[in-house]
Amino acid sequence: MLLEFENLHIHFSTFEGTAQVLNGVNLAIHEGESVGLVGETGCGKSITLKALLRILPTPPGRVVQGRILFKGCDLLQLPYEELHALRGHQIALIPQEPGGSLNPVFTIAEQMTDLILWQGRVHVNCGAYLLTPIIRRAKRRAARAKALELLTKVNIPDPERVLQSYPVELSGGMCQRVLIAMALSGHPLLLIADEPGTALDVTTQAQILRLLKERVREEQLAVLYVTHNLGVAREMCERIYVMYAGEVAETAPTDQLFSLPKHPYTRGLLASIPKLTGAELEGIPGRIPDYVSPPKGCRFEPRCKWSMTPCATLQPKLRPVAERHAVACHLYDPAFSQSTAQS
Amino acid sequence: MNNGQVLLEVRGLKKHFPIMAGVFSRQVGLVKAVDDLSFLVRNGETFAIVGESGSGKTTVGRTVVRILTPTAGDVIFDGTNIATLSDRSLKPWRRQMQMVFQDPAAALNPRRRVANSIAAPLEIYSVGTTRERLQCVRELLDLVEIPAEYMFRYPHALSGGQKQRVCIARALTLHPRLMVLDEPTSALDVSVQAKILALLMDLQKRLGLTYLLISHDLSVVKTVSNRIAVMYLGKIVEMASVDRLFAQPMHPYTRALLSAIPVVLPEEQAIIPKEIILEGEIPSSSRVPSGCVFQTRCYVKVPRCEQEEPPLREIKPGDWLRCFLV
Amino acid sequence: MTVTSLETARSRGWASRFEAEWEDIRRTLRRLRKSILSILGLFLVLGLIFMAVFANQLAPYPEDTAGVHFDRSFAAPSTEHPFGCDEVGRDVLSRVIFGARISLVMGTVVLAIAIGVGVPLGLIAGYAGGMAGTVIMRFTDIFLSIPPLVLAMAVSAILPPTIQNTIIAISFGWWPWYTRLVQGMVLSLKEDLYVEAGRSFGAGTLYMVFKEILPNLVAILIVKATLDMGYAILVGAELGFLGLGVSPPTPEWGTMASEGRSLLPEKWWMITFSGLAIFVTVMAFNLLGDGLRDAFDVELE
Repeated sequence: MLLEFENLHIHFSTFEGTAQVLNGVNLAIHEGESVGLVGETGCGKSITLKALLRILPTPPGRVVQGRILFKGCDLLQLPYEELHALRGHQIALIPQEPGGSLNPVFTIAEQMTDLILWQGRVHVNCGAYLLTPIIRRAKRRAARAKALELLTKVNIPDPERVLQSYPVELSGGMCQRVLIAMALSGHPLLLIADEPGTALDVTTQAQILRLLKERVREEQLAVLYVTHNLGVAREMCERIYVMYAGEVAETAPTDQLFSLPKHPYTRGLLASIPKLTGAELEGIPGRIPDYVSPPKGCRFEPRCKWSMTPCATLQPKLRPVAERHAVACHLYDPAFSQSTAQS
Repeated sequence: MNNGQVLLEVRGLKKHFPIMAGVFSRQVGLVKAVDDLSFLVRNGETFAIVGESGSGKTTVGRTVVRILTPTAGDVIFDGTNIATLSDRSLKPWRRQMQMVFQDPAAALNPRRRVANSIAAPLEIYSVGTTRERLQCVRELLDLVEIPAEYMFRYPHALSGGQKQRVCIARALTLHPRLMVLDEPTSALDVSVQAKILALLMDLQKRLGLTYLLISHDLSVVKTVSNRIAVMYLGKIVEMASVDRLFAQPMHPYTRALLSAIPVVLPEEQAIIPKEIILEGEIPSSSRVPSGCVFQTRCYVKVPRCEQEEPPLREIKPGDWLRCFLV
Repeated sequence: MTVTSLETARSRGWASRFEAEWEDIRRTLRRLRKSILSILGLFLVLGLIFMAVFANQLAPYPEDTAGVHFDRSFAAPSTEHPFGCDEVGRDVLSRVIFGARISLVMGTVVLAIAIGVGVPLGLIAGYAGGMAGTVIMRFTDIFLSIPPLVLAMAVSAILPPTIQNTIIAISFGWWPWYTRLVQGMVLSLKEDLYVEAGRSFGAGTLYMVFKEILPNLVAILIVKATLDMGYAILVGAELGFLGLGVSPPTPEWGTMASEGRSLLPEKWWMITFSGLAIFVTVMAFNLLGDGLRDAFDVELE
């Protein structure tokens, strides 16, 4: 077990009150596994990501319960030095916006060599940094060579030219490759891909996804794909978690999730995606609940076609229904025998 | 209404943007966003224009509705060429064509209440009294399934899907005949998208509307459109009925585009071509390649493609292709 | 509106427009409430307005705006004259209270002129652009390059010292800031999608400017005007202090402070209370303006 989210609860204090943004998230990733975290806007997947990397803005947000275990130790309790050694080295993020995630006033070479040189060092002495050009020439050359090697690994055709360019001179696809290279520079154990390819065209996205698949397979990385696009999740992940309103609604191996979805939200989601087969489109009525005063029971209940009496008052727990397939829904709870539910 | 007559005919449409640089703002280049586009849209049908960024599809929409003025070419709406009309003579024609934009939050004035935003076209054309306008707004809100309580709220109180419904209501105020939908669901979640598409289809049937749909999402296009034109770097590379295009995509770009769709069902996977990953990236529209626009990334090209530009040929009635090799 | 009529109105879908407006005002006020300082500012401003309107009733010696009482000359603060008396025996407290009226009127009219001239110019410069815009902005730049006080001094040195002329002098230096602000905002608002949408309906220029762009400016203008009120009053007081403002015996705070300056430290009450009045007023408008800015800010989201 490489990474495990254990019953994570996160609250945000807003003007209108305390928003219960994450309500008991359970997630697990094993070594070398590709896992998807799928959900629409506002479901809390970005917050989950930020909590993992501990970049959650802590004045308004706070973790009220739960742990995030990475190789057994709780990331949330880790002292800053150790956390810093972990971030970038063992856990790397590929950000969502290729253009916006690179500093526009530095060349790619500068950004990558800085990253390689200073990775893992908690306190970068200002003097040491400024004296970089003079003192550590050998190290700099080695870092640049490594940067070049990384860029070649991500299939950039002219890495030398890219190294000398500024981010604004590069296309979206190119920037995304640079970001992947930067993420790989620390030889991480776990890669987190935040909406991979969403900001890109479909053909460029296909290139990037194929690249990711190759690199992940070669280096046997564990990956967490956070996305709202079920098609991308299907292509890239072995197992998928479906999130709704701050909770995990369902988790299953990919094929099983798409062929036998159980949770009403998952089914609704799949039914809403336009299919090339021309199947009928059905949306999900309603909107996500108000996090400040969420429903007492199941958070999806107001929009659920199959809601029963206990759904409004009792919160469903994530319960296994098949091998590696768990659902948080009363319809599959043997305690509620009316659940003649599904076909 | 759906009598098969041509409502919109675009002939040789060109929209070029000059690139200004230097101290004296001289023109140093030209962005050929739309280059020699021709297509027909019939009454009651949904015509989709598909392409990626840089293809020029957004510019087409804006040029047809005359937000932008064409550099050359004709835009014949219901028999009249509106490409060269002045702003004042254009006014009666604007009533018949409306646009729904991609980002509903940005398309609504954040400081105007929903009712005022929807009634704006009525105010502009001085239609009806205030009371009548409010009544019209109520009916429109009913049509797009938004509860009447939202009438005097500000847009920020609405969800994304509701905002888009308000934009659709606003576009319908003057009973247009043609609606240009510019990526109407791209900014929305999938579950909301389905409802908006259903609404649009329903409205089309009820009000006899004609849609010009601009999108990059082929799955959406297949679900709602009758005919498709695939654009690349300002030109149409393939144009056909939806069924034909998906069953037998001919142009190499179309095939690559279809194979790149992240599909959800195994049945869908069987429909699209096998994985075709294009090399390189789309060139800039200011430096269009010589010969065929697609040749820099084409995987089946021959030397002729680099020198000569293939014309858009009608290989069968209603089927158009711009390629030497098929 | 009673509860039942409200419900009936809602059920018919005819939610009154005024009810919606009222709801928004209440929400803004609620946000304002969150900051103690803003509440303080609000109450101070309201207090000042109250003082200005009811000066006649509040001042113990309303006739002391003019007239002389040499028997009371330089009386120290006491129970009959809490703020003491000035050189010619006039009650300082009453004069301070009437001074509020003068200052507030001055500030209001100055801002009215500044907005009335500056905002339309800014709208034209921003929306029309081109040659007209350039001409307007360069003209505005000329006035912007001179500090407001200096400009006011220059103008009031030429004109006879009356309230009206002081107002005119101050407005000279005030309107360009509004032009610049409005022009900048219009330039950026012009690019927004809903403006494009409006044009796609065939909206004319006047419609676009007044119905689409102006509402977006209102919040910022209100905040700026509130903050500026304090500063306009301050400039008026500065002019009075320098002897360029209103002429005696008008009870203007700056003039009063000037009269008392040379009499420090023995006859401290003359300058102290008028100075305090200026301080409190400027602070009040500042606090209120800041609070409004924060209250509107969330809404502007």
